[in-house]
Amino acid sequence: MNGYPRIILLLLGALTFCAWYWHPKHSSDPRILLSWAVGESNSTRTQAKAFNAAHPDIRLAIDSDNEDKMKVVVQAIAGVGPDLFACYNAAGLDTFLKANIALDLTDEFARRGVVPQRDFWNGADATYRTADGRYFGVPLNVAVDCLWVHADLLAEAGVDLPTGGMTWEQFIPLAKKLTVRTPEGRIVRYGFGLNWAQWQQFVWQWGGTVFSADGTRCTLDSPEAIAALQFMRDLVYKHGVAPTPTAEAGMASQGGWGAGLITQFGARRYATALGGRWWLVVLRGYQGLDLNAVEGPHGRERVFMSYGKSIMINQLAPHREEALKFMDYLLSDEHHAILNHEADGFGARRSWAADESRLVDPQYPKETYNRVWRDTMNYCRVEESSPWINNMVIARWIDEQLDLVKNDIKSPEEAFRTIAARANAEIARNLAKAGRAAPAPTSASTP
Amino acid sequence: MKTIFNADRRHLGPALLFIAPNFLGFAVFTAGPVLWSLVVAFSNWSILKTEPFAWTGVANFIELLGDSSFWLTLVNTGYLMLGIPFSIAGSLGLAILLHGKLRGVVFFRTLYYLPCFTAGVALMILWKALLNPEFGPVNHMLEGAAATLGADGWRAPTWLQSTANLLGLEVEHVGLSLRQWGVGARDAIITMGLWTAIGGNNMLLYIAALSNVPEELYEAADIDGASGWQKFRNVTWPQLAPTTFFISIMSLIGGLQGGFETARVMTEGGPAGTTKTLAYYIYEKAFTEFRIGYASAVSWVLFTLIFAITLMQWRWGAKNNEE
Repeated sequence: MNGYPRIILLLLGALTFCAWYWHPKHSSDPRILLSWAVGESNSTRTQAKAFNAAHPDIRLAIDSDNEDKMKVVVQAIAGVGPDLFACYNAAGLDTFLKANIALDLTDEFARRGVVPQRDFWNGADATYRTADGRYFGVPLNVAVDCLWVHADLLAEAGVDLPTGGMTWEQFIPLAKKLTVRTPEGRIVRYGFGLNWAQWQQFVWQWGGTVFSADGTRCTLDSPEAIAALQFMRDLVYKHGVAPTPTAEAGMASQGGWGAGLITQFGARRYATALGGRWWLVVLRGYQGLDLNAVEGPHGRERVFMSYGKSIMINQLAPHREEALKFMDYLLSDEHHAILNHEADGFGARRSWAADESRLVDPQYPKETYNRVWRDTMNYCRVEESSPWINNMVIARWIDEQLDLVKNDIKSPEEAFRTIAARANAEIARNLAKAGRAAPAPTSASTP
Repeated sequence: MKTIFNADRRHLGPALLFIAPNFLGFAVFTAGPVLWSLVVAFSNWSILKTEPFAWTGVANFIELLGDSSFWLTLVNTGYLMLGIPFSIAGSLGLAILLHGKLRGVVFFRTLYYLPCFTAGVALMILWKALLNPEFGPVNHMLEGAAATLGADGWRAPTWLQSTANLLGLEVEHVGLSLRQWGVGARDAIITMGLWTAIGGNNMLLYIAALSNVPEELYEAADIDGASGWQKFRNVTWPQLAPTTFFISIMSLIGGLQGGFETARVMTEGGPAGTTKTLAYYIYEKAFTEFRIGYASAVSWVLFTLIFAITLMQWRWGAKNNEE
């Protein structure tokens, strides 16, 4: 071997040496690194900072690039997953449990004298952290959607919203009054910003459910559920108080989950919209808004959907003890105070919000409506799920069918019947695999 | 002969050393996973512990035949590939224009090539804004033009919000319906694809191929009194046949594999799943439902499809090239 090959080999050797010599050395930071896969925001940054300050031997680092649950699962199974990760819904919990990466925290709660069903909002029912009576997540926050209103627009239109709850029938005439048209008939402001993702709350308010109590049947083809979706459609196409998808896209701006509706509300394109207290994270950035919030309208049932973010511990990660210290932090008053101040929903411990003085932040004296979210929590349920179907799959079917209803291509009845038929076929298959028979279809749920 | 053999043997060691890094990388990160995917296509493998690992034979392939979502995504993929002939024709036209001795030709070539070296996601977001049904400049222009022609009140397409399409393909099953006829999300994606592809690599390949057409052929055609069209039809086009053949094959392969980024960034597969392609479907099955076995089966069906089409095209193309 001579000539060019030798030179190239020598060069490769030299480059390898250089790479080895200059490569970033292991951090000289002696602290234990805890990686937290969660969306980065003022709130989570402040929480990490507070935790790090209280634990000089640990460095909690936010890893927002790997927050996606697919990444969490794949990385955790490969042994390089985060120590802590966030879970937002039943589909997420379902995935984490099936991947066997979420640490069972039931005994840890007991050791700390915490009784989740008594101490937390959404107690034992939170499908985004609880399954089969076991607790897998520590609540980071909870939320419920109430009716955000631009108080000045309501005053201009002479609309006075009731504070103790109202029905949709009461709300529609008010929303019509708040809808502003140009002389040519073009709508420049809608009375209500409809979020189709809230379909489940509408179903409950009309007396329906998504699944039967034992989860062995999808009941979206019930008359109640169909009527609820029909009502959502009517808000757009019959009452004209909420935008069509085309009008909505016209108003949309780029942004993350829900950001479109929030920014449109912030830009006063809607006079009212259903949203959580966490909207303040965005709305505080708008100058001169005169905001208020009241309990959202309801149907024949006064029920609302509560949701939240729970933090899980990766049982395959090496720093379990340190991760459990973060669990203690999440249960602390300090964490609740930060959360309250940053308006990232509100704290999961019921006792925290019981103290009225904590509902007003001196730095945000105009935000006098915080108790609305707390009080509405008393009428809440959490997202339904079934152990007999992959919740991600049914969520996708629902999205596709809602697209068709939103675009007026399919009737609500056809859409919900399609979902129920597909879901029930899938549930029956999964029941059969488990050696159980599917329940006989009811007259309402015949595909 | 012996000397050559010995010389070869002498070089064998260093040669193997040189190819070793690349070969190892290929074996571990490409060939290995590809072979593994073939193996697991015959299993129920899921990285979730939903059920114990088991060999399922051809069950995944049988399930796939009855899976309406698979067929719909296959149809979507085919529909999005309808832009390929137009893109090839556009590239050829542009190459002919830019092949001549125009002033500032380098500037124009760079200009048309710009979409190719601009970040794809940035382009997609740009097109999303351009196609905004209410405030996008495209619809402003179309509605303005319609008003000028006296069609006041005519509404331009809602583009990415619409399930309509030029063939009238149904949304939920494979079939046609007049109700779905129009312009929608799929057409918007094709339009964006055309804009990106016409001035791209295909144009460069055609420019290179045009430079290689012997000048004498044109001179002979001139002596025969051939018109511009006749010169194109009888000289340029046949001379470009190998390039066209290569471009067609590569475009078809790209088309069958493509559509993932666009669907992910611009539409998330919607509205109502109409922009989901096979690549997106594989991703969804593998990383949303974690059904790796099933996703592998779909991948191998996609591979077979690509292989079969390429083979047919190869035979047909080779025959035509010989003629």
